Amino acid sequence: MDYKMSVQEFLQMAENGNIDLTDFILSLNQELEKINRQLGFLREISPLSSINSVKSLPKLFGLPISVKDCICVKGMQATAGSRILAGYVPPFDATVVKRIKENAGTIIGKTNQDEFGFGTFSTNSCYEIPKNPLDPNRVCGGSSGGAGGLTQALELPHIALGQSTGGSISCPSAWCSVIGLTPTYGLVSRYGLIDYANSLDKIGPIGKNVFDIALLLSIIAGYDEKDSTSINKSPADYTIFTQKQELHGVKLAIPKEYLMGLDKNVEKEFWVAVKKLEDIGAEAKEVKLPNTKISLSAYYIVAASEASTNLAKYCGMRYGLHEDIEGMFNEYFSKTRGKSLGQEAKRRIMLGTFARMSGYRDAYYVKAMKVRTLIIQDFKNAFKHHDAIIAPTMPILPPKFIDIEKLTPSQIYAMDALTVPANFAGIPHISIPVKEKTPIGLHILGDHLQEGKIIEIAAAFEKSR
Amino acid sequence: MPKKKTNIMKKVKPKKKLKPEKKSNITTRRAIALIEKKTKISIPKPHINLETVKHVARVARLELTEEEIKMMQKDLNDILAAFRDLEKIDPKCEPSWQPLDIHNVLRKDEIESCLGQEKALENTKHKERGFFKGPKVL
Repeated sequence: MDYKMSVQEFLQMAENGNIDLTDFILSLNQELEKINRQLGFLREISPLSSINSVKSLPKLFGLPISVKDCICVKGMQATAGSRILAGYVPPFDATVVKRIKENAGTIIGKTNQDEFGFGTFSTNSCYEIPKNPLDPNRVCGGSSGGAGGLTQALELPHIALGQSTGGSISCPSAWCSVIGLTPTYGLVSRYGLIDYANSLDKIGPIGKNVFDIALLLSIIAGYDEKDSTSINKSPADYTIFTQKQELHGVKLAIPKEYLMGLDKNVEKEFWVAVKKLEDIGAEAKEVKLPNTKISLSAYYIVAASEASTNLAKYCGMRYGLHEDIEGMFNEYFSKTRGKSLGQEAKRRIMLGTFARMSGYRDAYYVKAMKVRTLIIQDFKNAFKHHDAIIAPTMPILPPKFIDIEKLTPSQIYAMDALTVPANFAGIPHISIPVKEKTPIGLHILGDHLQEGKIIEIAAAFEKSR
Repeated sequence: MPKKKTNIMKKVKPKKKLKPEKKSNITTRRAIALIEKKTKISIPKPHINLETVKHVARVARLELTEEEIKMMQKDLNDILAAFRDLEKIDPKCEPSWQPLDIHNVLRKDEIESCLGQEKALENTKHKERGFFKGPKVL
């Protein structure tokens, strides 16, 4: 049987008993092995024995779900792309994974990423580097690169679970031409996520269609007592927002600050997308978000500071990589960490430790947190008169592997300029390709907890493409 | 602005051998500030010297090779130079430690089942009699 179909078609067929799950999983497994050999999206593919225990039950009826490596799945190695976690097999499921399993989703494997999420290209991994399925000479984007690439390359029904700190869902979604949703901070439980930065991390879905991301969000969103930053909100069905065909009366804001320094193709395609949105009834108006420029520096200070404390727990003792215990504790920890952390991880630990050091804390860390207040205020002002903000997701097309070697860290960080403000402010956002198989994303940003509104806009746009 | 930056430097308590460099750094900073004022061209400052890189690495428990230390100095200075826009502002608002107004949620202090000792230890080879075994502390 040919299983090339959408998630929605799969669910309908499975509900009617027209999918032989064992046969389907077998085909899927072969396909995954084949794709993975060529493009390197998966760190680990679930063994067939574990997959076969899945039953065809609501709501997911065995639907394949891939999980970013930094999210814990019981019994499957979780490295978050780092050598220091090599061999770590979590004895528990992250809350998001538990909910997927409870709804009969099939966990098919762990997707490759930048080490701990530190990167824009998914090239900062201690393991396989995923290649862009639209052009294998180019990067997938980071840090959920394996998730974005697999979603584009796999023609069988599947949804990926990604994670974003400063753009790690939107960036690979744009560059691999798929759809990624980063929810409001705290809407989806972070329990079982290998943290990067606690006040910034969000788990969210990546899929081929707007329906797919709305479906997976419906399953993973909602209060979790195991995450102290979880928002007290009951689960909701977000798929009801995917029916929208037109956008009459919907007011969209285009921030002027987001239109500077764009690649010509990105700029052109963005305005074509704006025209399509206007054609289906939306009103678009340029606005100013005056604090946009400083958000990048402030975000990186906060992210590196939080990362430097989070990574302090990796010392080669309780899990992950082990060395023979020798010397005093400081010596042993420093040696193990120096040996097994990658360059970008070390760089961010150094930057974060520096920014939190006595004497510099107020000038960097505290000031950056104040900048976050300004960024949130900018967004809140825009949302007083607009339903959503739209912009290009990434300022450029996915770069070639050979071109990124010459870039300095600060040049790479600057590529996140358009995804960072929304992530910093914790507002929900969707990246949707301007057209199919094109690595340019339209970014749709909504106010806190307005996932429904941005899903509606994305769904209507999807139908107009 | 230059006056304020000097204050920031004063707060740092580096080890003794850092002192000479610290002094010259302030002079350089003043010189740069003067040039910037006159020419209106901003010049990236050497924020971090090699000793500071070594100190930060020690604090962060990172053993770096000499080559890595040099590379870190270059990278950190490049990054901080790119982040100089932060130095030019002084927001008067409260910091947002979280993006939303979230309050700590505590559960009731009731006994619940949790990860067993064996499970908790299954990911390490450094264990003895049901405990984690670590390197020497004293």
